[in-house]
This record gives sequence, C-alpha cells and structure tokens, in this order.
Amino acid sequence: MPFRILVVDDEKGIADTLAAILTCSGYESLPAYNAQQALAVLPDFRPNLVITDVVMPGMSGIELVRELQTRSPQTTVMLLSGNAATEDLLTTAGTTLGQIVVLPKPFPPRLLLKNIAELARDFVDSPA
Amino acid sequence: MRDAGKNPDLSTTLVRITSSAAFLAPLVGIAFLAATLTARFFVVAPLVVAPVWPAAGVLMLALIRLTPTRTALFATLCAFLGSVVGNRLTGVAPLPSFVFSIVNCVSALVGAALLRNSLGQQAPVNSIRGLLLLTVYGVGVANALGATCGAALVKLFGLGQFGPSWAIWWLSNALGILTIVPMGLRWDTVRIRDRSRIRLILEAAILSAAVVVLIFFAYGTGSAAISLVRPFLVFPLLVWAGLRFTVPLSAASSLVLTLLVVLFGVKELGTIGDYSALYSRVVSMQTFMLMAVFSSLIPAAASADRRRAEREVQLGKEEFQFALQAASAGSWSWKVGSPTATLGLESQQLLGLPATTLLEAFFERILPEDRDHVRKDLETAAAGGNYSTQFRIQLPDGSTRWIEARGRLIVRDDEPWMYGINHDITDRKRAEEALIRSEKLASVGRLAATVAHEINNPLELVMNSVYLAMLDKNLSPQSREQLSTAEQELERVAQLTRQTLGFYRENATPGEIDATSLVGDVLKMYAPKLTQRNIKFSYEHNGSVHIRGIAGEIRQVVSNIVANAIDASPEGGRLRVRTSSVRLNGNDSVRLTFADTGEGIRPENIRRIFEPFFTTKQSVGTGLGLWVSHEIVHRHNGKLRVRSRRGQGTVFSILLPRWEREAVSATETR
Repeated sequence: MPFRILVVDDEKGIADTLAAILTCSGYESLPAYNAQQALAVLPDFRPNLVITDVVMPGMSGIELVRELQTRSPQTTVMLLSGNAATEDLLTTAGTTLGQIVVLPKPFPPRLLLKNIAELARDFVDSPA
Repeated sequence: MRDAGKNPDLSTTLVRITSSAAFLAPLVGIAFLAATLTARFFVVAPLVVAPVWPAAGVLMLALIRLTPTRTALFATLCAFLGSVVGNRLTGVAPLPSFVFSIVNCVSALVGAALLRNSLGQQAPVNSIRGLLLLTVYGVGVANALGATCGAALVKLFGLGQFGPSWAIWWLSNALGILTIVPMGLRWDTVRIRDRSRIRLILEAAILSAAVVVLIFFAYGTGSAAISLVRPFLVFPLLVWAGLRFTVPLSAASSLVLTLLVVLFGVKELGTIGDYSALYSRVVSMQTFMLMAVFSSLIPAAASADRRRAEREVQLGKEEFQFALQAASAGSWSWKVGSPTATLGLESQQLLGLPATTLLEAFFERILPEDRDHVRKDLETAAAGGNYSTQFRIQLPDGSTRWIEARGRLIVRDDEPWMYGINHDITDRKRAEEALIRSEKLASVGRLAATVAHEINNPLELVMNSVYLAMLDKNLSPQSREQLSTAEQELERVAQLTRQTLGFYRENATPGEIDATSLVGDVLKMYAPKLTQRNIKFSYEHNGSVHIRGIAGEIRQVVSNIVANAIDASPEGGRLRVRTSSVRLNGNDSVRLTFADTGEGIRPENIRRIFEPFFTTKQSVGTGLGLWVSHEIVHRHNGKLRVRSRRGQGTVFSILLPRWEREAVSATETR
C-alpha cells in the first residue's frame, strides 16, 4: 500500500508542483487548493500525511490541523509556512505541536523528500 | 501630671500679663520716672534743663512699639504721671511740673507717630535710612516742637532765657532719643556671621572696659594737657563699636559714654558760676556727645546695610546654585578669545574639569565625532548670537554622558563674554534612543511579517519547478548543469530569507543537545579559516554538558559569534572558547564564552550591536547575525551577553538553562 500525501496550498502552482514532485518520488499524492477541498477528499483519499500551507483564504491551515486532529487522528501533519510566527499561531489556537512538523517556506524539495522518507519508513515499520 | 499641665498655663499667663496694657503702661511710667530722676540729678544750677534727657527716648520707644493705640495712650498717661512725680520730687513747682510733662508727652507722641508712619511699627532702624528718619522726625521735627514749647514755658515761668533753654532742651532730648530708641527697636536678624558668640561677648567686654578706663583717665584727672585732647580720645572706641557691633550695642555704648561724660563733666561744671559761660560749656558738651553718638551710630547703620546687602548677594548665589543643582545644570563663563573658561561647581562635576579650565581641555572631553560641531557652534555664538548645542562627553572613568549647553554673548566692561549653562541630558537621550530602537524593531518586525509571505510563496514555487525540471530524463547535460546552478542559488536565497524574515528550523521539536560537542563541531568547521588567519585558538571544557533546544538554532548562534570573533581578530590574534557548567541565582546553567583579542567594540556601539541592520562591517555584514542570535538565545530562555574593552578584545557569553539529564538516564539504565 503506497504512502498517501495530501498537499494543500491556495497557491495552485505550489500545490501542483509539490504533488508532482511527490508523485515522481513514488508517493501517491493529491493537491487541494483550500482547506474545505482537503476535508472533502479526506474520507476517500485517507492520507497518511497532510502537507498544508498556513495562511489561506477561508479556513486557515491551523484550523485545518485542528479539524484533522479530530477527524483523522492517525494522519501526520506538516505545516509549510512562510511566516516565522506560525508556532505562536499554533499556541494561540490551542493546538499542541505534538506530531506537527513546521517547515519554513521556501523549503528545498530535496530536504522535504528526506523528511517524508523518514516518516514513510516509520509507517512501513509499524503497520497501522 | 498636674505639673506638666500647669507649666504651659503659667508661661501663657505670664506672656499675657507681660503683654497687657495694665502691665506695660505702668512699666513705661516707672521707666520714665526713673529716667527723669536720673536726668534731674544732672541739672546744673542755675540752668533748669537737664543736659541729657533719656526719658524722651523711653517714651518715644514705648509709643513706637506699643499696640494697640489704646495701650500706647495709656502708657503716655503713665509717663505723664511719672514725669510730674519726677519733677515734683526734684523740686520743680507744681504748675511747671504739670506743663513740662505735657510738653514731654506731646513731643514724644508726635515723633512716634511720624516714625511709625514712615518706618512701620516693626521697622528696623539699623540702616542708614532708618537712622536718617529717626534723626529727622524724632530728633528734628518732634524734638524741635518740644524744645520750643519747653523753652517758651521756661521763659514764661521766669526760670531762664528762651535761647539757651531751647538749645539745651533740644540737645538733651536728642541725646536721649538717639541712645534709647535704637536699643529698644526690633532688629531684623542681620547676624554678624564671621565671629562666634563667645568672641563677640569678649570683644564687647573689652570695648566697655576700654570706654570706662578712658573716661576715668580723660575726665577724672584735671590735667590740662589731657583736657585738650580728651574729646578726641573716645572717637576710636565709638567707631570701633559702630563697625564691629550691631546698632543696639553701639547705641548702648553711646549711652554709657554719654552718662559717664555727663557725670564727670557736671562735677567740673558745678564750679562755674557765670551763666553764659556755664551755658556755652553745657551746650558744647552736649554737642560733643551728640557727635560722639552719631560717630558710633552711622558706622553701625552702614555696616548693617552692608551686611544685609552681602547676605542678599549670598542668598542670591545660593538660590542660583540650588536652582542649577535641581536642574542638574552647571554654569560656565568664557571671555571670548581667552584660552581658558571658568566653570561653576556643578559644571566642574559634570565635566570632571577644574574651575579654571583650558578651552582645549573641554574640547578633549567631547567625543571626537561631536567636537567639530561644538567648536563651530561656539564660534558662531561668539561672533554674535545664541549658543545652543548638544554633545557627548567621555569622562575619565570611561562613561559617556550627554550634555546640553546653552549660552549667550554678553558685553561686560566693553569685553565680549559668553555666559551659559551645561545641562546633563543623558537620561532624556537614553529614553529617546530606546524609543527609536523599539520603534525600529517594531517596524522591522511588521515589515518582515508582511514581506515574508509575499516572497516565500513564489520562491517555493520556483524551487519546486526547478526540481521538477531536473527530473526530466531527456535534459541536456548543459541544461541540467544550469538548473543545478539555479537550484543552488535558490537555496542561498532561501537561506537568506530565512535568516532575514524568519528563523530557520531544521527540526521544530526541541531536543537534547550536548553543548560541548556542538561548540567543538562549529570550531572544527572554522578551523581552516582560523589557521589561515593565523589565529591561535583554544577550547576548554569538562566533558558533556546538556541543554535543551533546537540544535540548528544554537549552532547558528555559536557559528555567528565565532565568525564575528574571526572578523574582529587581527592576524596572530587569540580566540579562547570555554564551555562550563555554572550555578547562577540558584539555576543550573551552561555557559559558553568566546573571548577574542580584537579591537573591541566602541562604547557607543555596544548597546546597538543586537539591533537589526546594525553593522560595523561595511561590506560584508548584513547586520542581522547578532540580532538573530540574540532572539534565538532569548527564545531558549537564555542570555547573550557581551563585554568589551577598546584595544583589548571582546567576550561574548551565552548562558542557557542546563538540561537535567541525570533523572532521565537513571530511569533508562534501570
């Protein structure tokens, strides 16, 4: 069963390119352009990992994380943020960092793939 | 307890009694009687008028001092009775006694009224103006009235001639008034400050003894040689009294002198039988005494005036000094063109310079970068204008203060002078600087937050696109190389934006870090550069010490500081690094110190090195390294400190909370 990754970013280009990179690297990947769309595909796609932008119109990345923590607790979340204050935002939102990894934007794809590879290995090691 | 309650009552009662009309008025009466009896004792027959009449002074003084008017009038009545009794007791017929007494009282009333009107009831006469008024109103107008009436009555009663009686009457009353009135008036407190009380009493005693001895010597012996010069012998003593003592004391000594002269003079006069010869001797004796009294009173009044003026000048100086102190300001003056300037006490303290100071020494105090504008401002002001400038000075102890100087050109004795003040405005300047700094930081923060999102998104997209393009298997080697270069450059840009607009986190979850090996790794990384610059470096530590934090961030801080130390070090310098465990304020901490032997940081820069965009490395610095380092250390609940001495080097120390690993490892080994 391949490792499934949902990429959420209101910048269509970023979501598409990132999904393409992940697909090329052998993961099953799907782009979504806002939080609502991401939540809509959640039941069918059942991602192992969600990589999401923080600042998005409508529902923000932080709100999406909160929603994911209740709807799909087993899903790992990576926040890809262009803003240094993201950690503070998370604390204000009452969401513990816990499993959430915050990556600064821009983040070199090579390093991103390295991080994901570690996650995917753990996923294989411990059959959920 | 009853006693304690009684005492104040007693004193209050006493004060009430002694200040009541029923007590004071009869007292005046008795004093008048006593003065009359004394004076009548000196009357030289066949003259009917006494050569000295202190009673006139007693009543005039009482009438000036006593309030309300009712008390004063009651006292006049008592004095009248005293006068009648005194005259009757000394053999004056009832009618003349009665009429003379009326004249005495009326003349005193007129004089007191005039003086109260011009000087006021509490007025000091220990001034030239006071003495003048006393002479004109008391001795002149009122006394002339009394003498005219008195002499007319003497003539009327057939007791003597008008002219001589008038002269003797007027002179005797004048002596009484001038000696008694100054003694009893309230004096404003012009203290003689340069002498102690004991020395003053001693001097007065010597003076009194000298007067008595002199009078006995001069008047007590009948030697003709002495009698020629004797009038002059007393003057030095009287001038001494006048110059060295207050007006009341001078008046008192004059009174003593007068009475003694009269006592001895009368003894001699008694032998002269001829009326006109007797008359002229008495008048000349009186005139001599009057002049003697004046020669004591005038210096006393003049020196009281001088002391008062001196005190005013002194008070003015003190007020000026206090005002300057309160404003933490100091005065200065400079004669334009002179190489020296004069500094007030506060200015001396502010600038750490002597009272008379070379202008160049003053400029030396000013920081070199401020020196030129101060010189220019002073020159402009000296050419005609106001001087108002601000500058920094460096004191011998190395501290820097902000001074505001103001002054203006004033022509004094046809010479141009500059007068002004120096004012310490360090606190104000520091507050202003702090405000500017915090505003700058806030605006940088806002800017960073706004720009970050706008820049980072496109960068992310470009980075992803380049990566994707490189995945194309059909890519020519040339294009692949170009894309690779683009990717490297992009990562450099990404690194820069991360440093500028946010902080890099390779791993957001804090972990346990061995500070000793982390610092060692960074030093290893810089080893080639250190060797290349010929910088000797040493690393002291006692094995692993652990902290908790984000390793990448701490590495960034250490790397920044080491890089700065290398930039600051001269060829062949030294860098000493130490990692140690310390206990500060009850907290276990890890301290990392980095000491270089570079040039050091200027004192005025040391507060600014943690500001964003502050750099002294014009071409290579971004001005962000230490700012970011400071923020990172702060976020790790640590402290980043710096100590620097010009020419000797700089020490940075990072203080971070120690991670208590012992408890964790204990459970693990079990």
